[in-house]
Amino acid sequence: MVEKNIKNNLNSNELLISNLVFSALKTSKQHLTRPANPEWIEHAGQLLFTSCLSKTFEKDRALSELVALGFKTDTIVDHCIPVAATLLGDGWVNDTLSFSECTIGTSNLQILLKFIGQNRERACDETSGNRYLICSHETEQHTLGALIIGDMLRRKGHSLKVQLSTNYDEVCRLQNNSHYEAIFFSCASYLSIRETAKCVRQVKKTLKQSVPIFLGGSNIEEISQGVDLSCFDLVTNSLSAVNDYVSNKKKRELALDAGALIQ
Amino acid sequence: MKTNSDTLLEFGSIPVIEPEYLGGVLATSSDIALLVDTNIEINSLLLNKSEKSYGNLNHWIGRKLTDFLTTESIPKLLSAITKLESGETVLYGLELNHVDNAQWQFPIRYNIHRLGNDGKIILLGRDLQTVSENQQKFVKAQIAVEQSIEEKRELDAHFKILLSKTTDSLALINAGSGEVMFSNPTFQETFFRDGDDLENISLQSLLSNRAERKGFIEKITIAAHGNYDVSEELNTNKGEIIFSINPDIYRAAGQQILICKFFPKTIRKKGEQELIDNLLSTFHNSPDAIIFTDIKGTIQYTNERLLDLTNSSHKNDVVSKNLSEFLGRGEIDLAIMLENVLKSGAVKTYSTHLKSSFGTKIDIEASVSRNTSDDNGLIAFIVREVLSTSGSSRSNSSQTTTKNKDEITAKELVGSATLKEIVTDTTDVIEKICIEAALEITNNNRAAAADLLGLSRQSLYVKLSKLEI
Repeated sequence: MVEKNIKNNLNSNELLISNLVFSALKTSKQHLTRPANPEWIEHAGQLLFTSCLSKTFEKDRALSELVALGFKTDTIVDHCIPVAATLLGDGWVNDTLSFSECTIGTSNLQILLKFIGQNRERACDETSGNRYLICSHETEQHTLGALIIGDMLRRKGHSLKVQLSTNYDEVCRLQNNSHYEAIFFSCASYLSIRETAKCVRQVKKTLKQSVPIFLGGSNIEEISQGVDLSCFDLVTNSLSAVNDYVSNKKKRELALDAGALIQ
Repeated sequence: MKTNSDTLLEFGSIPVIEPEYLGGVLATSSDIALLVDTNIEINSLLLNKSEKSYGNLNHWIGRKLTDFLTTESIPKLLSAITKLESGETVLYGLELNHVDNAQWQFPIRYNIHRLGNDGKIILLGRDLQTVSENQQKFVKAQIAVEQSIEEKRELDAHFKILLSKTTDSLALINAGSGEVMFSNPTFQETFFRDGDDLENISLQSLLSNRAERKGFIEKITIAAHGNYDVSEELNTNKGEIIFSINPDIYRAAGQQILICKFFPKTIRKKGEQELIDNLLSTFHNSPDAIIFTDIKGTIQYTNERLLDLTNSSHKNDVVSKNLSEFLGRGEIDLAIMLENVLKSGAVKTYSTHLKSSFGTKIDIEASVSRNTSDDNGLIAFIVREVLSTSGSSRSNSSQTTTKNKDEITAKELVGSATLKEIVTDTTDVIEKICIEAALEITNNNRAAAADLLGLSRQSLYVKLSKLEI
């Protein structure tokens, strides 16, 4: 009886540790496999690029093809759709695609993005994250980037207001009404980046309380050459950099408040 | 020159076009024709007479073509010219966007050709303004749709919060089919268990009396129109309960919707003596150990099963002893369970070991509840043995399946990431799982969790921050 109990106990511990390790491996697998392999992402982006230009594009089929390859929907949004969008842009630059084809292709990618977003269960309690205003300027016709950023931030528990095709007055009104913790602009064209910078300079001058304003976009380095971006607090495509900036700002403000109280 | 001769007309098949006619041919076969030299300087410009919208473009002559292109169009033109200079034929159409003093933009699709060996190049352009205008309208419509989806999302968030903060049981029901379209958490907790499929649930299916299900929705609809409540017995998690249903009716998207609030009236009571008898029988025959202690953990009553689990020979060996003497982590285990049960009234599951009188350990799970909030009230522990798979009820086939799945996971990982990456990531995940488990066990008491994990409090805080828990 005693021996049996001791043996059971040892087996039980081994089994528990083994289960723990495999559970950990399964979790690791989710973020180590596909995203860790850029070739797979390129391949999936190419597939998506072809299917979004197809006359018979169907969002369900496009999604199930990628899911069957082992991609999580989050990976599709974060990596595959941006790759496909870049390929569409390259197609216009190389004159292998007309701008009409690019527009239709991008529109199909947006349909897919929306489909994934709507089917994802989202916690309605977004009280723990930050509150952001995500914008694209009225001169910007490319809105896919802003919507992808929106999806990524929402998944991390941040609460957002997405305002497409916006202008100086609207940004000021929204910020004065809701006091967002940061404003994020997405840009993808030479014209809009100039206009966005102009708009942000005006916004900064007008707003009574300072708010961090960020700029992002997949080709931001290319399109921003020669443009004065000093009005932006951060020009980045890294969401963690944005979140860290906002968190640090909050901490600094808390410390200042505490200091003022002590004095 | 004829790199793709099959697509070009044979040499000599076109008669020589006399210069006075050539201009007319070019001007009418395109909307805009540009003659540029090796420096991309515009030498000549021809506009189709039917194309009035461009106005006068004579100021382009003598200027570089790139001065009148948008930034993103310039590399496209330069690339095409490089191809021509290297003797290639540019067979594809070149889409370029023109700007003129930033006043206006227009897209043109050009065919680009060399005219001879002197470097002169001709661009024959087709106006894409109509297509572009349609594209602009399409983009604007799409942005409007996206914006309305964002607004809908905002309204959805308000709707969900409103539902979740409503404390009465509330459901929105299709008055045609009786389908529960939306319901709040209170409604779901009252009528369903965790894991129940809430899709396609109808209100009538909740009725205790099956015979009354037909015509029930009509009855509720009439009550909504008549502005009175209906009393009905409904199946809930806690048995059959009579509810007062307060219905209202409205229309949305062409459907008639009933909005119903459910107020419990009475709980049907069955013979109390029967219940006591059943409880006593359960206490004595339960395969789980049922133990009652005072609030300090001293055992007052227990059934025979505890004696089996602890290898004790008589009830006197356990009664009046402190339960911590039998728990794997002794006073820590007992303190955590008592603290939580005194704070929240119940502990659903707590995993630990039970020590036998021979010193062996058995894996157990305990659930704990407090019978009254009175200090003299007893604490009830239900302790069950967690059987390891090696001698347990789990079948060999299910063990094999799990093992196979685990092996597949490992095989999928190996090769797609380095061993160092896998080990580092896996270690982090294990730390995270264990810390989360410890926090759950201790009801988020970080000091107790640090004790359980054998960490200093400072180390635990460092790990919490690192692992973003």
